[in-house]
Parts: sequence; C-alpha cells; structure tokens
Amino acid sequence: MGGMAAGLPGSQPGSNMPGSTSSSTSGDGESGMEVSVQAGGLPGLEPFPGGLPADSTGGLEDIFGPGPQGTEPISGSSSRSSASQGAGEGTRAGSGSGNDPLANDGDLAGGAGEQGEDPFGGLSGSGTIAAGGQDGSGDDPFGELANGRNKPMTAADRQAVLDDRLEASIAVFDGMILTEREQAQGAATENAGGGGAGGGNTGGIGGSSGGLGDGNGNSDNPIVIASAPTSSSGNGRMPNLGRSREGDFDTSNQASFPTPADIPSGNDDDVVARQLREAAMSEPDPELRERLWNEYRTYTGLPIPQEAMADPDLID
Amino acid sequence: MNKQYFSLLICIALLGISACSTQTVKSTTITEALIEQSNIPEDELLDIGVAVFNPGFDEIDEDQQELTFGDIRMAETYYAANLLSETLQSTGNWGVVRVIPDDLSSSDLAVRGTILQSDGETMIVHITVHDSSGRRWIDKDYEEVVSRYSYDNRLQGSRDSFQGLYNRIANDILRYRQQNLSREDLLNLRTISQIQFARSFAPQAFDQYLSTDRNGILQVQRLPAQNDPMLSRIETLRERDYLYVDTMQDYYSNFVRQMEDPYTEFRRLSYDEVMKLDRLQREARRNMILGIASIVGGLAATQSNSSVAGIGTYAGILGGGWLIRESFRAGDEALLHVEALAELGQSLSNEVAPQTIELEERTVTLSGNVQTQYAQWREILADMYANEIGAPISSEDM
Repeated sequence: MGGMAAGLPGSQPGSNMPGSTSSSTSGDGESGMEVSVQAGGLPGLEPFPGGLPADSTGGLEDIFGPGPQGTEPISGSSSRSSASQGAGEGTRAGSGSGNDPLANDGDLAGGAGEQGEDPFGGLSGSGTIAAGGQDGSGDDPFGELANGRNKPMTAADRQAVLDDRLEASIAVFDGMILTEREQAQGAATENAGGGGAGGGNTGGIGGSSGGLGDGNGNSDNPIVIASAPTSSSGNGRMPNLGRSREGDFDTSNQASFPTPADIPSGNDDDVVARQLREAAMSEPDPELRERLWNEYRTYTGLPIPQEAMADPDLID
Repeated sequence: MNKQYFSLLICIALLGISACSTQTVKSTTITEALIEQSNIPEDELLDIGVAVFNPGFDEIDEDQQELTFGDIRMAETYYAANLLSETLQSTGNWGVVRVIPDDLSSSDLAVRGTILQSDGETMIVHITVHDSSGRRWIDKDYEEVVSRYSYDNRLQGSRDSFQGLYNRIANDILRYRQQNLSREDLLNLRTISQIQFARSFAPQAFDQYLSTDRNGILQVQRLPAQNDPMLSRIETLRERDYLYVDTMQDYYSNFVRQMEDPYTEFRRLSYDEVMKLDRLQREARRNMILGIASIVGGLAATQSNSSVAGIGTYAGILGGGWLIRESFRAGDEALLHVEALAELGQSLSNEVAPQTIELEERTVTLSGNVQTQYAQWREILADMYANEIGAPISSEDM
C-alpha cells in the first residue's frame, strides 16, 4: 500500500531509464506504447525513443496522464501534496528538498505511504525508489502514478480504512455481546420459571406525607417516603431501569413474534443475520415482518417460500 | 460486724442478679428509601456504578472466623452489591445504576463496599462513594441488627431482611447530592465522566480536556467540539460499554436469583442459632464473673469469726461455685450452636460455591474478551488520531 508499482505505459519494468525502448505492458495489463518526450532543459531527462502519440501536444500529460489528482504542472516549488502533507510535514523520507521532485537525489521511502504525489517519484541518475520494495537500480523511477493505480494513500483514505476496521471490530463485539445476552436471558427465564424474569418494581411510591428526611429544609426538593422495592414473584429482583435515557440500551419492552417454521435456530448467525432476525421478531406489522424474514432468508441463503415468491411486494 | 453484713448482702445480691433474665428489645422499624418528588431533569441524573463488594476477609475478628464461610462471603459480595444497585435504581433519583465488574472511573458516581460482618442477626458494611471528579461523598460504616420478625414473610414480604441498611445508604447518597451539588455541579460531573471514558480509549486526544488540581480533583479545562469525529466514535464505543455492563448485570441478577432462597433460609436459621449462641455466651460470661466474685466475697467473709459472716462464706463459695459450673454448661451448649451454625454454613457453601465459581468464570471470560476488544479499539483510535495530526501510524497494514 502506498508503493509504486512498476511500469508506466510504454516502459519496461526493470529497464533502465532514461532512453530505454519498450513496448511492454504495465503491471496491470494495459497495453504499452512507445512514447518519447522532449524534455529539453530538464536535468536528468532524456527523450524517449519513438516520438509522441499523434494527438499529443508534447506535454507530460500525454505521457503520464492527468496524474493522481489533476494536472498540476511540475515545478520545483510545488509538489502534489497529499492531504497528510498539507496537514503536517509532508514527509518524504530521505529527501532534503522534498518539494522539488527533480532535485531529489535520495531514496524515497514511499512504502509507508507518506510520499507526496510527486509524479516523478524522485528522479536522479542514481536514484532508487524503495517504495513497494522494489530494487531501485534499473527500475522505472516514475512508478505507477497515472490514473490512480496504486497511488499513495491520502489521509482520508487511511481514515476510511481505520473506520472500516473499527466498524468491523464493533460488529464482532456486537455479535459476542448479543450471544452472551441471549444466554443470560435464557438462563434468567429458566431460573425464574417464566414468572418473575421481568420482575422488579418500585414497590409503590407510597406515603403522601411529603416529609423531608432530616430537616433538610430545601423546599425545592420535597421528598416522599417510599416503600422498599419488592419483586412481583418473590423469587428475585431484576433491576428496575426506571426512566429510560436517550442512548441507554433497553430491550425489556420489545415484543417477540414467533419465527416461521423454515427459519433455523440462528445460533451461527453473523451480526447482520442476527440483526435481521431480531428486527423481524420484534416487528408487529405482519407484512413488514414477512419482508424482513425474506431478507433474512436471502442473506442466509435459505429458500424463499412459494407464497412469498407469488407476491413481488414481499421480495426486494 | 457491718463489714460482714455488707459482704453477705453483696453475695446475696449477686446471686439474685444472676437469676434475673435479660431482655434485648429489637425494633422492627425499617428505614424507608427516600424519593425526590420533584422531577429531576434527565441531564442531572447521575449514573452510578456499584462495585462488587469486598469480602472483607482481612477484617474478620478472631471470634467471628469460625462462623464465617469464604464461599458464602464471596456470594454475599455479589448479593449485597446487586441489592444496593436495585435499591438505588428503584428510587428513581439516579440515572442508570449497575453493578460494575471492574473500572469505575467513568461512572458519575462510584460506590464501593466492604462486608465487615454478616450473619443472620447483624450486618455491617463499610461504604465509600466518590464522584467522577474524585470528590468523596461518603465514607462510613453501616450496621443493621434485625429481629426475628425480619424473617417473617407476613411482615417482611419479599424484602430482604437487611433492606433497611441499603435504604439508609441510598438516603445518605441522596442527601449529600441535595445538600452539596448544584445543577452546574451535576452537569460538570457528567461531562467529566464522558471525558474520562473518552480518555480511557484515546488518551492522546482527550488528555488535554481535564486537569487535576492540588487536591486531586479533576477539573474540566475545555470541552471538545460537539462535532468532533473522535468524540462521536467514542460515543459509539460507550454504547457498547453500556451493553457489556448490562450483560454483566444479567449475570449478577441471575446469580442472585439462584442463591436468594437458600441464602435467606440460611440466614433465618442461623439467626436462631446466633441468638442462642449470643445468649449462652453472655450467660457463660456473666456466670463466670459472678461466680468468681461470689467466691471472693465468701473468702473475704471467712476472715470474721461471727456467725453471720460464716453464713455469708458458705453462700458465697457455694453460690459462686454453682455459677461457675453453670458458666461452663452454657459454654458447652454454646459450642453446640456453633457447630449447628457451622453445619448450616457448610450446607449453603456447598450449594452456592459452584454457582459462584460459574459466575466468576463467565464474568472473567466475558471481561477478558471485552478487554481484548477494547485494547484493539484503543489501537485503532490511536492510529486515527495520529492520522489526523499527521503523525506516523504504527499499524503494519497501513
């Protein structure tokens, strides 16, 4: 990631630059073409053999394409900074003058993705490109730059990757917790004998005396005396959640509808299947519930019943 | 002469006193839990984390060690914490109240308890309460001595026999909040808790928002932006943490439900034995003291040659000897009740020990898995923060 793959159009991977002739394909299978460029006045460059394409204007874009992000001209003072470079130091390891791609006479450690989007990728007669683990001697110093092929990652790209990792990890956590909760609630149902599993109430807010506790004297917060908590079954007390709060996870009031006969137990459901199952089981609208079950069937590879097939509204 | 009469009277008085029965009056009044009648704004409701109680093995007196069973005490640590949590929750004075298995630092209020004594008659716990800023609210012992009527279902209903103790703890916490914290203080505590949680996952990003004053109290230096993407991620993780805590709560509730009946029966039976044991021990001590005193008085009377003094001598020595014999008898009978208590305790231990072990295994397993996941989240968040500020990212697969 972040490395530069071999081969520009028309270049032979591993061939010496500049001045090599080739008509080979690039690493991703694009057909090569022989190109040449007049790069007079640019140190370190020599014309490619074979001339320019017929419709070329002689510009670098004809050879290299628009570049990773538009067609910024190459100059000694500008650099195609990635977002990370713009935000930070724009590191280019080993480079003493990072903004001048032509002046770079050091190695470019682009493997970590920190290299800016320099279309040249650093150029010198003896320069090596360490990105992607390539051996510098004899490699194409330009690397894969055009058309977004294996371009260095931007900060936004990295952020997206990290977000994906976080979401995946959260999904794993959700699956684990849901399994544990099902086991715990199943055990609770067994132990309570089906009677007092949901027990636990405030025991009544009895007493209308409104007396304060011990001479508090705070008339803004009158206190009533309440009886101690009691459970409805006498066998145990589930914690009384009291008022629900925004964001607080509370499944105590979810209805549960029976599953269709063709739906298995779902012990090996992944997170998505489990969520579909739970949504279907708690959906009071029968039509919507059947749709959700059909989604579940589709996702898990179960056959959809004939009656559902006959009604196109039940199938997405 | 007067001296001999006086000695005789003392001996007779001591013998008389020993024949009197003592009475201990027990009150059946239970302190009720207090509820604020006025509606508390939701943003002022503090969440409470109640830690699993400390079993207090280091605090057990030598004379209590014989009657303290490790398995029962360990089960009581979950039982007491769960009961206190339910009591606080049921009052409606607080937000979410849960038994927390481990770190309480991100709770608005953290309640910790140590069981100092627990038998059928007496329960003593030491309670500390701190808020998320580090300020200490409560640090005291609570003792409850119940009567036999506390085990009468017709009078007690399904309440725990020591419910009054938990109610007093809840009332003290409520009073402290009412007397010492304003609305701003409550909101500040909730902010601190939120940042504390965020800091536990992404210290690089959130260390800057809190500082500690010279008294060790946390202060909010500044607030993160409401649209801070890192904060929104943290909120997502916090929802998962709530899920984890709720799952643990299910475990604890199941455990308490399983052990409640045998534990209540144990306490009821042990109450009778404890009362008898206390009575016999008191009787043994008293008889021993009186017996020795009588003998000493009688011996003192032998110094006189009068007939009255002679009667006093016999009364004192014989009476004293009888008292001492009764003392030993009472002591022997007390041992029987000690053995009975030990048998009761062993029986309950055998019943709750497997459940306690199972609970500990499940909670340790789940906690371990969750902590592993949390560690992964911390790594990802650290990489995200490094990416935001342009620092090198440590992840190998970037």
